[in-house]
Amino acid sequence: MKHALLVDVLRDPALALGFDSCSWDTLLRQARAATMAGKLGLRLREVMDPEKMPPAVRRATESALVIAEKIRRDTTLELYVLRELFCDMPERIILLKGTGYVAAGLRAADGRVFGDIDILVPRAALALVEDRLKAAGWSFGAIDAYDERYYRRWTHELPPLEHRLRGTLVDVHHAILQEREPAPDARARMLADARSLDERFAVLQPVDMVLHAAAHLFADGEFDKGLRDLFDIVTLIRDFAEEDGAFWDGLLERASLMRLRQPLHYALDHGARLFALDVPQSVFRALAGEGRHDWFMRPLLHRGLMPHHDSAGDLLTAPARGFLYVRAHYLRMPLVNLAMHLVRKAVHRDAKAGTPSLPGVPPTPQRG
Amino acid sequence: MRLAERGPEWCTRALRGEGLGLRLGPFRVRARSSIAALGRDLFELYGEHPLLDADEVCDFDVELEPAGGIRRIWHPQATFRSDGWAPFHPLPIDQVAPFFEWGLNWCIATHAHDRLIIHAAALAKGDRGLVLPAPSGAGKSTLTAALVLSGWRLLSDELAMIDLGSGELHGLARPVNLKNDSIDIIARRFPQARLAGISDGTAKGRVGLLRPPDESVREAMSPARVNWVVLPRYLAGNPTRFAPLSPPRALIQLAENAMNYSIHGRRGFECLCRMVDEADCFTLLYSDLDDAIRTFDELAAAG
Repeated sequence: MKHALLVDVLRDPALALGFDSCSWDTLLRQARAATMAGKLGLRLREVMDPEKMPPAVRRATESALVIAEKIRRDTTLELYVLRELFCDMPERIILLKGTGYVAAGLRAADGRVFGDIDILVPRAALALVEDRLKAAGWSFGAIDAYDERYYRRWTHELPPLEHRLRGTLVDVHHAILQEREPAPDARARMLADARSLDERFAVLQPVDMVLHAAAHLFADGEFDKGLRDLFDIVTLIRDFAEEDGAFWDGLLERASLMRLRQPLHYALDHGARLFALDVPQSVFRALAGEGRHDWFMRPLLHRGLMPHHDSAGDLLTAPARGFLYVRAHYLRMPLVNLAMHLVRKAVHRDAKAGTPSLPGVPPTPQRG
Repeated sequence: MRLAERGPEWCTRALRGEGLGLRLGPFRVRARSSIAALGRDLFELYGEHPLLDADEVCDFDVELEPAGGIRRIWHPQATFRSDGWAPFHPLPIDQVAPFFEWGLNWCIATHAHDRLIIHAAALAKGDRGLVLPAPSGAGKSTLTAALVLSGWRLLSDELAMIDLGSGELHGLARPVNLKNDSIDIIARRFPQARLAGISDGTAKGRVGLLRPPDESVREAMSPARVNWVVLPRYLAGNPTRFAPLSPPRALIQLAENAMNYSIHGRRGFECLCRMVDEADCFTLLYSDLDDAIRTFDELAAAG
């Protein structure tokens, strides 16, 4: 299994002090591929003056940090809008992922580049939330009926809603995670136990925030931002564990209750291996049963997590990612529907012909 | 060393192998491709640009390769990839040269937020810069081509890059992207124009690339101060009208054409304020290219 330079430097930025230009170049390529140039920039600044970096690296990391700052600004502004929009709604709105990290002022938000405002609302409030967002200028954009049905039936969120003028994307979640088997009712407690930021917004409590991020990371088939998400989880855990001595015990207990022990094991295992996350041995022991597939899953997940760049892959990378993609859908939908869905996706990908957009309007990037 | 000193076969070989490294103004770019036509076009268009040393860290690493799949038999296409991303659907393989240019524009527009980028042509006389902000279809590229072939220095035909700190205008001296009729207009009016990569049937119609003048490439590293901001608009049959524009209006036009203005927030606003304060701002309505060139030359002569 190949190890990525980016992972090494994120773990120990001082390594970059001894880099030749070839290593710097590879580092930059991998950081862009993983959408982590901002995080890399912050880590590098801990050990060196930006003036000492190669100009291309300095520019790329500064540029990513400018975008991260812009995202923080935009997120804060959109939250003002949403607060007004839902001011009379009895239920709180829970901010998830990057949106939550920004709103709660967590370190995981620093240098993070993300595109969507993720909110979680109770299923009962879903129709109201959708209607109000649409009335306020958000819409589903160019999405066909099949995709909309797919979203509503097989995922835990609505199709992304894009604002007509500002272009901001809102992802409305109505469940923690969508699975084939009915989720334990206990997961609804994530909503009830969320911590209020103000009278309108809340974020998941620390243990749930970690579990939610882990569940998403390891249930998601794309993995294209996997390394970034794992790094976030590691940052969250480090900060939470330092603040609260009972964090680890609470995390384990909660993982059992929510039936999320397996994703937690994966997150801790890979977090420790890649980013030297300090996990107490007792925690690993308590999760030991979840490692029974590690001989098989560890190399697969490792390949999924590595930056999606040729320099960080090997011959097994493409099959491993293919497997993870199918696995993610399998966790979500029965086999018959899965087969039909994948066939449809494959046919459609070939049929879609496109045009380059203007330089002024960067198109939605796709993985190549 | 310049690309022209190497020869077209070397250029094609470099693209196939470790990559062709070019210095484009402040940026270092490495391109790889097994498509031979791209080697020939890049050699023709970028001949005067400096080559990178083997071990330089590149800002942008791009790859144009034939697309796989069964379609390649009757409809060969090229894909564009950069740092693990493929921002575009594949395009017909005979559009590979403009595809390279669009791809590079995408790289700059997506990743170069250490500066303000305006969708505008940028030219200069010495160190006095001229910015022509305009949406597509306003005749900006034709005007730019005509001006650089009449002695103006080319900084960029599509992406004007402003340093947020110093307010200086930086150049790339990349080829000018001409569309449809303007290809023949420029070729007829300026016999010395060197065009390459002409492709039919693209999303923008027929496109062709004009090689930047050698002097512009050699001076690509010298920044210019923004001396003039002119909003050009081509209107067939209209007499030339050149009129002053108030700084606030110029600022709005610049902001509307800026690609990463909102990303920079307050700093972007302050940068544009300073620009319209220091520069003279005008609108230009034109249909006669010679008349337009004369207008700009008079502007430069007046100081």
